[in-house]
Amino acid sequence: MIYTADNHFFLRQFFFLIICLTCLIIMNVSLSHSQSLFDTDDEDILFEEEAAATVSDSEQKKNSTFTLGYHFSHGTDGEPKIIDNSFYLRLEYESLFFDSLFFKFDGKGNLHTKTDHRADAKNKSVFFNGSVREAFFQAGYEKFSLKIGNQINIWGKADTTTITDVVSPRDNSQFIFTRLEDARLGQLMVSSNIYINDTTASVFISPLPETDKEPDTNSRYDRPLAGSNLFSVKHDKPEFGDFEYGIKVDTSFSKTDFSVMAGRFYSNAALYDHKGYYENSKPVIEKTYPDYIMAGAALEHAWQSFLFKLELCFKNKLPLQGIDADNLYVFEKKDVLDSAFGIEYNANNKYQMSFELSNRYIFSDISRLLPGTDKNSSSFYTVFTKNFLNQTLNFEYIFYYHIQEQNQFHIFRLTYDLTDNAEIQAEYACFNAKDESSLMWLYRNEDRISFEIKYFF
Amino acid sequence: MKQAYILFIVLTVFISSSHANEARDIIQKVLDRDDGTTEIGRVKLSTCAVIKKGNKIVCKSTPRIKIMDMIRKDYGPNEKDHKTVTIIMEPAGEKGIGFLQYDYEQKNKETDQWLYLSALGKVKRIVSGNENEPKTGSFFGSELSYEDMEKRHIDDYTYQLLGRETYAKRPCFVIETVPVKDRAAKSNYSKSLDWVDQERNMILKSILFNRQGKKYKKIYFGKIKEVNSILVPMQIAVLNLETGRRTLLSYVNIALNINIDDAFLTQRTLTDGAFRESRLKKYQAAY
Repeated sequence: MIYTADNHFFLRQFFFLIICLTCLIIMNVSLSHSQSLFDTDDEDILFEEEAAATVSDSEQKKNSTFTLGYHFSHGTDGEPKIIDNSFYLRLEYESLFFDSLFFKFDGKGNLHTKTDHRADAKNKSVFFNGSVREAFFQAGYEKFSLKIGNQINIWGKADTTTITDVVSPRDNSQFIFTRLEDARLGQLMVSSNIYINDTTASVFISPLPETDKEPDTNSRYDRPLAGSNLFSVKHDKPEFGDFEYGIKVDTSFSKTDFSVMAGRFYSNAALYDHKGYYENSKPVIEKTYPDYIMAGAALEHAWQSFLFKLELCFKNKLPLQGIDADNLYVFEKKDVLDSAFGIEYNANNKYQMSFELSNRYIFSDISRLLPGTDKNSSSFYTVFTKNFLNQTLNFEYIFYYHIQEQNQFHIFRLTYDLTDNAEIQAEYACFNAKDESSLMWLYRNEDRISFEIKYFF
Repeated sequence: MKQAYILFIVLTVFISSSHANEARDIIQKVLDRDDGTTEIGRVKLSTCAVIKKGNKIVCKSTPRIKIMDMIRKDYGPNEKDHKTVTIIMEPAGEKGIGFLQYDYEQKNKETDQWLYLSALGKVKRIVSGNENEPKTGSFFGSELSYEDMEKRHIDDYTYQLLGRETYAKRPCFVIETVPVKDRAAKSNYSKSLDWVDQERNMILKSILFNRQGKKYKKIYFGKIKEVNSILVPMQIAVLNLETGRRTLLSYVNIALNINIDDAFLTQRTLTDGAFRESRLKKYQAAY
């Protein structure tokens, strides 16, 4: 390269520039401007607005929560059109006494107006009823806890079918329309948990087993037993001293949660049993809840966006509804294997889906069971949920299909948080029943829309 | 001329490399800063759509408020594994919902999460989504995403010291953080600018850029207070520039380094009311 005076000058200028730049960068010239070089639209006033973010009384821990609600539903097929037209007030209360004694109460009062099917069934202009879901005391110690009172005990991993979850009875008085928070009923029991690292052993004993709540007589979802005008029904509910008891062990390792359980139970669902004849030759049918024993296992395993669920339960001498040679109701005790397999998928919080396939297999001869009873009874359940508007609006779609009966129903549900304390929910449910011998056939015209508003305080 | 050019390139590479190293060291100090082995706090999340009034940003409508008790304990040789219990206190309709979460320092080890809903009456394992894709969900409906709440792995990013300037009356480093290829595939952000307090090794402000390179969020860490000899930003404001919404996370109460039983960070806390309330009462006495 040939250097000339001009390019020598240029070279010096260039070096000077490099040195200046280098010094500037190395020194990391501290910028004292009020305006940032890197963020030209800076706001440093964000904290001023809520500078006094102190705790008001309402933010202190409350022991009680009230829910005031109104529920309306309208049938699209059957008559009368108005189904639910009721108000309710629910109280959930919990408190700690003496540093280790915990009390919980969950109760609800309902006021059904004249057009509501429950008031109509009782021929009253206003009908009031109430229920206590839970009311118990619990004492907690280092590795041990003890709970006494009216309590709900949930077993198993399956969300939609009853495989091992046989302890607490269900409220079936509204068919499939019972709200999640009302779906299970408490019963008197003593239960205890023993905690060892990641393993929990739970035992319970119930001296007075409760049974599923059925629809009130003559209410919308009441379906009288076929031929009930031809016989008399005598009730035989479990009494104090008819003990239900069970044990469950839960453990977690890595991405898997595993449970095993066993117990002796009284059937939560009623069975009808021919017990002879009155003098006038009218058959006597006993409505009864026979006992059985069960042993089962359930697991959940998480893998990336998927949660796999598996549940198996063997029920020994489970009472099932049968029919005798005179076409009268009897119950038959059968060994059954209930199973469920489910997958939940989370699309990175864009939406969530779950699928659950369940099956009941009856081991022995089914010829004496109620017509329409299959040796295998399988159903498929799927739920799709998606949140919008910063999780204040939720859409849920539920689809159920019974494989042998080819019956199905769909539920579309929208829930919106009007404010932090108020929520509205709209729902449409429709049925498509094909099997005339199935239970759902009796409800095939129960498509409906419903609306509910809740205020929490 | 050629020599000068080479010198310029060498100098530039050397300077930018030394700045990258310096920036990484600064961020390493931020990550290593003591934030307490345990934390118990009551947190208030306030979220609303905002408008600018003069030079102030104010809520357009009544903010949505969530109040929750959060209890964290660190585990592992570097105290980088975390177990956290979160119990919602407000709004009333969500009261009693509990979360248990285990986060791991080990790369690609997915978070374990369990949810307790009193209506359901049982603890349920939940999955948060595929770790290899950007997560879109928000933290309890706020403008904070789960990615914003995660602790950074130092090797997931490259760092560049852009300069120094005063922010919030504090001398700060301004550092550009860009995710490396693997991390970029699962991040909602293409880069961030962080204002790091030079003396206190704390980030005071971050600007996050979306995957298209546009400014997406600004996060401000304010009301810095010493709690049990550890500096804590008592308020974190998140301004989402795309949605025009803002979340203000405020510590109503906080205590650090108090003795929290390992048993409290288990599923027992979600279901055993007597155990949970008696332990909480003991821990909250430290406020």
